[in-house]
Amino acid sequence: MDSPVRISAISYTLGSESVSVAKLARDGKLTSAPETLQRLGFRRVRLANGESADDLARRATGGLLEKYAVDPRSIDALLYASALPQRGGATRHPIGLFRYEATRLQNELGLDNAMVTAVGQAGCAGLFSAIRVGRALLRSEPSTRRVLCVSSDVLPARSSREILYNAISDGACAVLLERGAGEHRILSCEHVTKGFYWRAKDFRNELIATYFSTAASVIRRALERSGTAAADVRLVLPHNVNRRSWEILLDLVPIPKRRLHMSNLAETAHTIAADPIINLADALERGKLRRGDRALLFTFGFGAHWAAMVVER
Amino acid sequence: MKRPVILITGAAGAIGGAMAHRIASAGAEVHLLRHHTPVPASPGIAIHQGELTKNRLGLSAASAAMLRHRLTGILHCGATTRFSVLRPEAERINVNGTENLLRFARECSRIDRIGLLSTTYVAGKSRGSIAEQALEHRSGFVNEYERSKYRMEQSARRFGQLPIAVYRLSTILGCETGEVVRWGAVHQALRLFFHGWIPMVPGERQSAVDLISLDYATSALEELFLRRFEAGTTCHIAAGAHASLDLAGFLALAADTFRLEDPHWSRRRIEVPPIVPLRTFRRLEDTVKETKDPFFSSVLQTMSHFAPQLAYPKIFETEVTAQRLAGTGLRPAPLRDWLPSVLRYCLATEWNRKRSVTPVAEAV
Repeated sequence: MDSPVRISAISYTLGSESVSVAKLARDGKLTSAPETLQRLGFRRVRLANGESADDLARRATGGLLEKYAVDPRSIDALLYASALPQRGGATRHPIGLFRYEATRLQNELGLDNAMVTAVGQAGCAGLFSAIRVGRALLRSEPSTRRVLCVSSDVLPARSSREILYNAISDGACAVLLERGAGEHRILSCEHVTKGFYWRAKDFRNELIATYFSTAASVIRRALERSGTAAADVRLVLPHNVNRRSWEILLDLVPIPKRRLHMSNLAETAHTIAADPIINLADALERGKLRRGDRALLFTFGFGAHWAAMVVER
Repeated sequence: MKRPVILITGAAGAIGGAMAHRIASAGAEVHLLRHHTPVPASPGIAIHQGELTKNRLGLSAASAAMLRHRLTGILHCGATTRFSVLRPEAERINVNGTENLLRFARECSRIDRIGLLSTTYVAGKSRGSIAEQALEHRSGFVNEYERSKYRMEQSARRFGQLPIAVYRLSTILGCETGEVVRWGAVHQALRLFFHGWIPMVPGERQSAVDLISLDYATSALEELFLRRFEAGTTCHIAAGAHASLDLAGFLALAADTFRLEDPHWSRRRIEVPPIVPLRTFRRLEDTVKETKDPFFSSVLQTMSHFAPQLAYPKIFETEVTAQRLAGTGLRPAPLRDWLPSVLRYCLATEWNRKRSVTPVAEAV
């Protein structure tokens, strides 16, 4: 039997500036009317306000180490996930292109014993991918006992703050994985990639059309592999896309809508890769998951990735 | 027996046009009522300019007088059959137009048969087994086309002194060879499915998809109207329980055919659209309305005029028709046997032509 892997700590941080969707509209950063986004559940977004993705990643990871009194040197692997691709311009000194947030994070936080690598190109599913890889590392390498997964995404300052009727925030999240029994065991991870839709902009309509059916089948498989009946899902911890799309998706699985934990959507909006883990942290803090309860986490990433995870407290 | 003299309305349509030739070939003298759409001239078929909704059917005085004197039968195929038709137009053409025609028929001294083409979907949102003689219900309708045909049948019952038979046709998909004569909303929906643009389909897995071939529709009509006419009957010219496919089977067969015919289709990993309760489909429609997404507004509009019918599962009884056709060997071919041919035709013709990427909103 596979050895269990659990989520032993979560920390996250959001952009420090909270801005209403009405202001975003006035600033020309939305494509839909603000009223439309409000009716879909969004009121405010969090902007990094000059901070970089590195800054947010450092704050989230440092916060985790401090809050849970984790010795930085006890981290065996750091998996860094960012949805937004780095771009390097033409340069006379290409060596300058070889600079990475992940190794910078290791250096600045003293994660000296960590093998550092990045998991990329999975869009909003990047953090799930990192968790899945981390879980596999813990299961396959006896010497690896603690894996830190970090995601951080900050949209460029002048970028639009809306993607397909969703309001986008800046945020970072750190998740500590450990081998062994205990609370927040990961029971299953499921991930489907449909490479045909790799150009999200060109296949926008096909992606929207196939989103629900693929999401429902990925969720069903994650539930099945964890031995969880849909009726036994205590909480659904979603990626923070518009509320109506979640109501439709839950109909398809089916899971009652009252199980959807999305109370922070209005204020937090969609933080690219971190939402379901942020929602897990919030649910735990609010006592919404009791020992033995199972939660379904789901996300979708352009590129195109559908990923689901079942966690038991 | 004297040679029948038959007036056919709606001869520009797939059914009316085919029936004109069949009835003429059977030896009858055929007169066509032509409105906007040109009808090709054929030997032995007379064409009269007219309009159902007008007094005296818009016929010239001479034509009207001649037809009043000579007609022995009327086959009324003329109608607006667009699922997206609005109520005033549907009422004007399908109800008032039929009433006009029946008033004209009352003035025809030799009339011994009137066949009114209707739709099985006069059953509207009724569920379960739909009997051929049944009409009255309070279930409501999915579109104005259904309602107008229901009202047409109600209205025809008030002309009880006329020898009227009602032929309720199911949706005609194409010929059993695969050829599509008239492109409609169902073909459009299949095109959307092929392109991977349908997020979901309202209905139940077991909902019957009742589609018939033009071959069966016209053969059955010819037999029922020309040789086995009986006033006061209503016949379902439908696939019924034995020749329909259930919705899940219909979608799976369509997907299998696309996969087989187009290897590229498999590479795209297009999912068979999930079959969802109507409330879920409505949620999607509401969300699309909220976002005003132009592409999906168009997709859902294409589907909204007929797909919700699948959420009211029903089986059209065909016993009366089967009895009346007994001995002819005529019965609907199982849809599973000829649906792939129609889909291959759709693929080969790119759904009749290279259309714009944005789907049209209405039946063609």
